[in-house]
Amino acid sequence: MKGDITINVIMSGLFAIGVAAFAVYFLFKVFQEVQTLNFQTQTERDAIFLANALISHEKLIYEKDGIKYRGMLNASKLDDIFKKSYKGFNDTDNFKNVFDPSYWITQDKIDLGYTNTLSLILIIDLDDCNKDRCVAWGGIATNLNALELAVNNPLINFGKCLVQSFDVSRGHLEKTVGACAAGGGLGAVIGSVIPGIGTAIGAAIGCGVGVIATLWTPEEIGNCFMKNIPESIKMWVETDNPVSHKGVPINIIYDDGSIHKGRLIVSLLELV
Amino acid sequence: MVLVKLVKKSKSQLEVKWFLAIFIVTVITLLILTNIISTTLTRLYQEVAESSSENVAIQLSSLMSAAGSAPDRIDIEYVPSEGVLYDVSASGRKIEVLAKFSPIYIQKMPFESKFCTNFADFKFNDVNKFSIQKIKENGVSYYKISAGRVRNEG
Repeated sequence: MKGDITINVIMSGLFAIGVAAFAVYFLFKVFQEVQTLNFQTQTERDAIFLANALISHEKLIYEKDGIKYRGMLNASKLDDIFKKSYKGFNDTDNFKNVFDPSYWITQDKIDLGYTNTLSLILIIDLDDCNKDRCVAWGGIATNLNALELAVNNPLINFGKCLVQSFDVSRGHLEKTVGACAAGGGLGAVIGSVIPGIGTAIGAAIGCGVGVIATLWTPEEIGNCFMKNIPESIKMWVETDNPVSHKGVPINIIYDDGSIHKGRLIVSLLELV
Repeated sequence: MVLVKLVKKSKSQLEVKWFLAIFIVTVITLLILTNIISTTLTRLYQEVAESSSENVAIQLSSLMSAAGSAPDRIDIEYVPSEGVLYDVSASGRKIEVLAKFSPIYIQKMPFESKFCTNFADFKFNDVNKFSIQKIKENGVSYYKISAGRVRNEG
């Protein structure tokens, strides 16, 4: 009879469902397999490029008869640009000035560096470094764009993220009102006990604290923090290693012609 | 009455045979198609990934930074793709690249990347060949970038 459910109809239906399920599975499988993450340690790469450019820069390298010697840094030129120490990087009294903006290396001294990035450059003379004496140079090269820093500041982006993740559902509003009531009640009790505050002010403060405490969950705040934290700091937190902490090998030539082995270390802090 | 039952049974057997035949042909076709489609999709994704705005921006900014590694002069030629054209602009030591894929189903998304050398700001439209140079003139080194087209298929 027309309209009867026969074995053929059931088989055809099952077959159609099977084909559809297979198609969906196949689609997801292909998408998952080809989705390659192009995540790279951008800061590490940038630091390596900057270190390589620095060891070729005419304001740092040794030059004789018009020939520039890549990787051979002139100690006198380093003295002119960087802060020098005879106690290595542990010389906090001297090296703390490196972080003072008035000592930052500007673009007229070294025209290398990334926009809105603090480039900490450290140079160490390995042949003249022992527990009593360690010759080292340090400085921070900057190239700041105030407008971009203001617009893309991580703190502003963090605030934007919090606003965007604000939950306006009825459940959340009820929770906020409940927290206000509970905080208000507690505040009123505390306010009535403390002389000079009073029940009303205590209740208002308690309600405010309750509302603020329920505006965002710790997960939402944590998510916004991790999304807007500069990548170099995130990498530092996750790996416990500053970028390019081993640096690139160099030679340092002094005025008396002596050549020492050394290392140039670049660590970047990208502000936006 | 018996004849009717026989005809119905024979018709039912015929339908089952047809159904099985279609089922087997469909399964075989799907198996063949699985291989062809996955290979084609992988090739497409690989091509799009290699020629993407993100990849080209990173490569180009890296080469511009690498130009600083040469003490005197350097000449780097870079052709990211022969079949895709790009809009590239730079300001404040940051480049923005937009890959202009011809298929409409590939979304055109720009990507930014930083470089550390002292290139002047520039803007190029519909290009796919770049020449990055560090030149020394009158004792002064400076950086220069020019762009053109290898083949216009955009």
